Amino acid sequence: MAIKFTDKILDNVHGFIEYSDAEKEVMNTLLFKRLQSIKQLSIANWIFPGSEHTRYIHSLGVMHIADKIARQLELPDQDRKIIRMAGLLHDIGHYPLSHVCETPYKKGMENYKEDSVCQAVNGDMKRYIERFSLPVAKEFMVGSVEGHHEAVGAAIIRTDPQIKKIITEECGEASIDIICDMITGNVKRQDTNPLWVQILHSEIDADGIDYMMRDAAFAGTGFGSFEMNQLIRCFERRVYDGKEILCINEKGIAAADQYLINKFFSYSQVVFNKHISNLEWMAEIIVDWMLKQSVLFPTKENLLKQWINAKGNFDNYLSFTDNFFWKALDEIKTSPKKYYAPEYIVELSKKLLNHEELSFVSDSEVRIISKDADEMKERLCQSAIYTEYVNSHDKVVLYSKKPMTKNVPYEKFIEAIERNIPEELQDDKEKYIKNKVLSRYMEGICVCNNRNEEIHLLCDDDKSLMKQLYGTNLVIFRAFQFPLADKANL
Amino acid sequence: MANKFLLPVYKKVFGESFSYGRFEDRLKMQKMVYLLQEEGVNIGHYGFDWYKHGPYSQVLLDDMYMENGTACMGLNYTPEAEQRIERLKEIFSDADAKEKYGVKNWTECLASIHFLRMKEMGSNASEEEILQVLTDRKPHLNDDALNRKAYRLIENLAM
Repeated sequence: MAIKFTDKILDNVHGFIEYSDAEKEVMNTLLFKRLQSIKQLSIANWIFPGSEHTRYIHSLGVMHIADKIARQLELPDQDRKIIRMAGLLHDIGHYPLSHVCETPYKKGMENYKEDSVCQAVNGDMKRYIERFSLPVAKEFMVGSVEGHHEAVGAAIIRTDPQIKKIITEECGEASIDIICDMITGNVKRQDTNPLWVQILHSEIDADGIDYMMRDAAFAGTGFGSFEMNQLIRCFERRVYDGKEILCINEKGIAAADQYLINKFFSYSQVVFNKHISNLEWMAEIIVDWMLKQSVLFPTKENLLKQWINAKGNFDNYLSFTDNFFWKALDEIKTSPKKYYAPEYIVELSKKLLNHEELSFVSDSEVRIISKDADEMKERLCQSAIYTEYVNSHDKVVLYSKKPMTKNVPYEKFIEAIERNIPEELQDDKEKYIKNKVLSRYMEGICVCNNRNEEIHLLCDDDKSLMKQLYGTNLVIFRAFQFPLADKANL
Repeated sequence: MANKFLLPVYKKVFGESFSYGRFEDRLKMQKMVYLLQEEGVNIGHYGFDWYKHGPYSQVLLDDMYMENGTACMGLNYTPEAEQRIERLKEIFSDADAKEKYGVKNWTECLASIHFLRMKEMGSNASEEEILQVLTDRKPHLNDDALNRKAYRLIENLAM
């Protein structure tokens, strides 16, 4: 049955975004409206005051872009309904302050001892620098794991009777699995077309296209500009090893290069901004402590088993928004003894509530853009970051890292994966290499042509800048004054 | 990139030191990390695909190689991580399974069922269908009662 748009909403990035009755039903659920209370860029608005946009409008934007791609690929309306629904729901599992509160749920099996926080953080940094390398990426389309907002979103879709009913009536029961796979990046399920997963999960996907444009528009920077329409009109599909692959034809190479380069700069100048980085780190440390002490923030188990439970009672989850985070900080500030909050957590909470950053240690920043891991490591080891600050008891070293592209040329990739194939994989060697190549094509930006069925990645194309820029990485290390010196000596 | 959690968690779960040179150790590590990761313990973020011995990650193998022989660090686990690791340890230590399958095959059975159930087959696939695929692909895992036991354990493990 054809898609019928019955209304539209005005978006300052894409203009009018149309939606159907079923999509409107989803938008009217409390679970979706919750996204209006979660800022896309967490506390970036303290530094870029225009960055007030929310996950709500971003979700509508992703639905819109995913559908543009689907129409370019000439997918039938029944398929477009599923793809649109996946785009709309892709962020429904997001945490307060977006990725900031999510990070502690995705990492950290260890407790920081409250009398040696700086040493614990810096110890990990020291180890990272000493083992610094830029390994060739060997795993693609990895899929999200428990704790990731995508996995939370999939759990919600499978559990909430209202959303399940809307999806089932609009798209069919089998689409529940497909939508969850599209959201979590799972290409392994036999009944899910990996092409659809790539629309939401690849180096150029609907999610990235929208957030690049939206974040730049609201932050006021120019880094999100690229030829979106040119890029999308160059999307095509090809088949490799029996699986459909999302590709661009050769006319889209310049637009794809522009997208990747601008993404690199938007991370360098906005996401990794010195002020935003340390503010977000403070928030992460506080949430990490709350999680591990089972205080104020739900543990992962509580989140999934009690807040999102089989009976569809989401009352607690509906309040799990940016406000939840700020209320928790206020609780710590006003009643620290009630929560056995250590002094450093109270101090960090007060700072954040007062919109105060950690003091940056002047001239401590090391910012390197290079392809040469040995050169980067040498520069890091010679810097005050390594010679002084990672041994500090009252300063913390924070770092950020971004590659230009995850991919390397085909020969280098094959060499890397063939280098250490163990005895247990020898029988499966051919299958193993084929799978690796396939997943590399699925995640990377593939280029196709009209002359034959051959496909290759941008970094293998003479017409692409990525052939020169692959392997380029940005790393940034900075030292900040921690509000309290460690009392213990590790 | 190396992973300081691998050796201490392996020791905690299996009660012995890890040795990269032993195939059985590598396989047990693969299955342990896969199940812990899927259970929400942040031991890493590895991508697993299905091969002859079930879910397998090349990057995890690389990390095992890098960590092999390094000092096994003491870790201050969070209560939640501690609980999950202990739960998995208990499952892996099942006496009946150890006797009939051995630890290696038992961990392979558990991880393989999980992968089939959660990643590869539809969410409406029945226990019968999943176990049929398991025994088709892995004829050495042919103890029906044990396989069903493994299925129940994996079902209860799901968050």
